Amino acid sequence: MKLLKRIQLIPTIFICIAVGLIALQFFNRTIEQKAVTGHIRNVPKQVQLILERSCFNCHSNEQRLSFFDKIAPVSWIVNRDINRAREVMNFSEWDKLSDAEQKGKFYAIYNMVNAGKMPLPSYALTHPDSKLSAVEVATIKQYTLSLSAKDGLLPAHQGIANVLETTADLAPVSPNGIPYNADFKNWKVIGMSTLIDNTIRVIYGNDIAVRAIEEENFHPWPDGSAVAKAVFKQTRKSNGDIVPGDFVNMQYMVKDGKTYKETEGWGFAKFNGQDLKPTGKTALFAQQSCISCHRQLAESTGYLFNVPPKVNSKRMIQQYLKTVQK
Amino acid sequence: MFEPGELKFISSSFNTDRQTMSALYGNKEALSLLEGARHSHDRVSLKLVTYKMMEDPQYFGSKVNGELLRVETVKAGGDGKLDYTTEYGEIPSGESREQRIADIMDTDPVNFPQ
Repeated sequence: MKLLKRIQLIPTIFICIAVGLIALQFFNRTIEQKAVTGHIRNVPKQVQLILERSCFNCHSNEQRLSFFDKIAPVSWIVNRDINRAREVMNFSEWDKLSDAEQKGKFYAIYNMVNAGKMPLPSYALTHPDSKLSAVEVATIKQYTLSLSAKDGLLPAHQGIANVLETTADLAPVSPNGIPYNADFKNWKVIGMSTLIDNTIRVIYGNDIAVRAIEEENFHPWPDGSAVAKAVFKQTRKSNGDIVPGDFVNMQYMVKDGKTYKETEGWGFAKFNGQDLKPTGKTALFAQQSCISCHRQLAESTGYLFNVPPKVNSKRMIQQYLKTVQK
Repeated sequence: MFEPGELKFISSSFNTDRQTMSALYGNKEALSLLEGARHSHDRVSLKLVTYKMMEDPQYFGSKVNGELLRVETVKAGGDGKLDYTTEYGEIPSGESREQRIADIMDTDPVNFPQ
């Protein structure tokens, strides 16, 4: 008898689920339609096909969503992912990026697909066609490297005629409340890096971050650690040296486990150009863009891209100091 | 990480032919001299720290400073001229002390918006 009652319940459950799904559709919203301002150009056909198949459904204004993607509650997740993806990189608005930015984006694309972070594993599970084969990842790598093979050096630094006199009170503020902290220039330089043919960077750390690096105590980083990366265009000197040219942006991370719970305890900010325009439209920008790339470094460096390699060991610096003291 | 003592970071550079990456540190007199705001060598102290350039283990396509190669200093001498020494490592082959001083003094400090 009990078994019979249970069997009779099955249609009722299905009807309830169906009614529930129909009701959800009243709260369904379609993804915002945006214009195509400019496509990526001069890309090999095989690269274009990979991007269209694996990336365009989120990173563009030209979605080809399946029926399943348009049904609530799945559509809610899809819409959220598309909004985040468009903010990070939009192949339908590629013309808004400078040549250097386009080159930088391709390094980001390669690093994300090579790490298996893109397409998002959750997306790839329901869209198996979006997955990249090893050969396709190699194709992206080859194309990315070809961009740097060209002489991409930017025009020589012209000097800044009118340096902005921005006072501390008028310091630009990121949408999440983090102000531009000009004091980073007095912090210790913890490293230097360059994306060849693109930019040259200097990375500064505050006292807490420096101590954490010296003691290799950054799993997790102590609260109060802060790292600032100053990014410049490249200028070539007559002796072949590449040196910092015009200022591009300052990227900032500060550790506060309680305040920034949604981004693994790190607060992010980025200030662009001579007017230090903050990145992001809302306080959620770091959740929607920054942290997804930084998460791939969770185990190795505690979410930072620029922890000095161990090759600059304490032993080596001590050896130098002994030499100086002789 | 390099400990520059009282000196402040002035600028960085890299050289793909030599596969090196450098950071220049200096005191306020050195900064002022390189900015063109003063012409006297008095009390000037500079330190050029050069590393091997290496692949960034965290990010394909990026290069970072690796093993420490040398530390060169340029300081004001008693005769009003600049003295050159290598505190660590060797002077780059084929280059004279005068060339090294000229190279180090031909540096523009990094330029920030504020």
